Amino acid sequence: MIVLDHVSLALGDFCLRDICLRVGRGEYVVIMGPSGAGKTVLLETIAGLRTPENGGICLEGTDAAGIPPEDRGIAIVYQDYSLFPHLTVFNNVAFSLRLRRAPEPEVRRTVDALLDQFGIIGLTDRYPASLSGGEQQRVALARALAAEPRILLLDEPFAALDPAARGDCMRMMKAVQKGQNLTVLQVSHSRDEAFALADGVVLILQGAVAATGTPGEIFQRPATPEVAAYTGVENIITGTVLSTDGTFSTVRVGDCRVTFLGGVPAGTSVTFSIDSEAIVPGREGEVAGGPHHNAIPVTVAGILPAENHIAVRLEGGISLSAKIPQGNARISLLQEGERLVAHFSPDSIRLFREGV
Amino acid sequence: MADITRSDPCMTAFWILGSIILVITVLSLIAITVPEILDLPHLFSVATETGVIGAILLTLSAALCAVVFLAIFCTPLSYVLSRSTSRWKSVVETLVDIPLVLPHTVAGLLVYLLFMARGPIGAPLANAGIFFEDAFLGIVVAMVFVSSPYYINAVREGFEKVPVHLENVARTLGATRFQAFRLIALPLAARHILSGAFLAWGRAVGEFAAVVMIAYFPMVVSTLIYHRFTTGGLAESRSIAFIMIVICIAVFVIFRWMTKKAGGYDHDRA
Repeated sequence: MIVLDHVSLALGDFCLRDICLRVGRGEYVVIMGPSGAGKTVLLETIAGLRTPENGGICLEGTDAAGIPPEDRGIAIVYQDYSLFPHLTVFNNVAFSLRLRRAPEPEVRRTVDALLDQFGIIGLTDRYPASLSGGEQQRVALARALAAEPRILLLDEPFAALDPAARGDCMRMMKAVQKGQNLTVLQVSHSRDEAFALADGVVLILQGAVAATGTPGEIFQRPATPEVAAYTGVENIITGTVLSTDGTFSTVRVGDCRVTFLGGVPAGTSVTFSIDSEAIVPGREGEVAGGPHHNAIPVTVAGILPAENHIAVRLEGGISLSAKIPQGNARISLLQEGERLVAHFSPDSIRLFREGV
Repeated sequence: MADITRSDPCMTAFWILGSIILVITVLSLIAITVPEILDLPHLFSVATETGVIGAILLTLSAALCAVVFLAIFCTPLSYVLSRSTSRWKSVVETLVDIPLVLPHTVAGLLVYLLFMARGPIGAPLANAGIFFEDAFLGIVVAMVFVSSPYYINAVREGFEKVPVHLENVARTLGATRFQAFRLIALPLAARHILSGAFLAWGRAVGEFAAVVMIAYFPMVVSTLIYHRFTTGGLAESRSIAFIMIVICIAVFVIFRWMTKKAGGYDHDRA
């Protein structure tokens, strides 16, 4: 088990701020966040490679303060795998065993078993520079497991792999973690990896924990606008409620008025998002709607085709992004600069925060 | 792949500019080699002189001692400098580089002031029977002083090129900080360490001014060449210089072979 209790650490202009975290034994937790958020620094702090200025770290119930990295029972695998370039694959994997002076027959038996488990027994005498990314990653994992760690820290281990190799390595990693009941903390930028591997997700923004939860909680029901922005939610807008009838409320955003489902007292400042897939750009009167339907005059500012949809940037009283399914014949005729109306229903709006 | 420098006017111009120094070097080597080859009996007689052999052995052994001293005491300093983020780091780096900017006579004077029998370091050691003036130890100290920046800077650069991640991984695999240094940083910086050692050795072998300030005798090769030049003329000193050139080129060839071996893992065995 890993417990971080209000851990803070400054590194030049960057700092980790008041990190509180609890990872149970045998859990697989993915740490996410934008580049520079402090994810790698957090892993290195847990590993004992950096010393927190405030707060404490407990590993398996023991205060880790003063315990050097070599005695923590933690192995780390970096994104670049950090194989020792002057050692063969065999000697890389045997590194920890030889440090603890294991007898040479045991070293050979253990290393061979690990190389066999990871399907790299044929690489024994090769040097890291001659290995592919996938092979290097397997060697790095085998080397880490040879140290028999209680906790495994993985810093974007699958980021440099092609999709096929990544899938294989993820399956292998999950099997190893379950088989050995390892506690794994993995840094990742990938939602797919989080959904495939993680029991829990920790989102780090600007050096602080912004959200914790299951992948579903983080990505499908983000709790705050900041978390929503990281997870890719578009059209996050702040305004002030003008009026409410208890079922619908109308909020003023600049010169525009937006109606959403829910009763919020007038004068309340609210932050909400509009589902980009629910926005339909059309001409005046082209899209029918109920009495509370939203219709915002906009100009088409940009059109960007993607695999399954067309992303349309709409500028007006509110700047909006709309995702239109591919194959929509009417949308395919849109022109940049065209003046339209952005239609969306009140129930396509999700309220994040209310304040006075 | 075609050599893009062949038809590139800019690169050609750079080659021409750079060739000036190459021409000077080659011409100077020819200028000293030809007369020596044409008078082999004289070269042989000089090469077998006891005084010359003694001066060469003294120079090589003193330079080797200086490099060993640098390896033991300055390799850790180079490592610390490569890993330190302290605000005092630049002060230490300036101190390290001071011998580079001093006139060598000044460097020799500094060494003499410290290590003479009345100096702050020399006096207590003289009481213990250890002398530096006109002694082998004085030569070694002068060589260490003037060659230390070459060694420290080359080795520090080597350690800086070893990713800290590698040592971090080694630590989490059970290595102490010293084991991570010994098993990871040191072998990976080996090429730079050898390079620094060779630079420092070459600088030490060639040192004259700093050495004569503390130890005119016993004569190192530089002192002997100067002595013969001022007392016996060009022919007397040229043969000794030629012998030293041959020795230094031989050492350089061995050094190149060693550095190639030391860094071979990243491409040769791939």
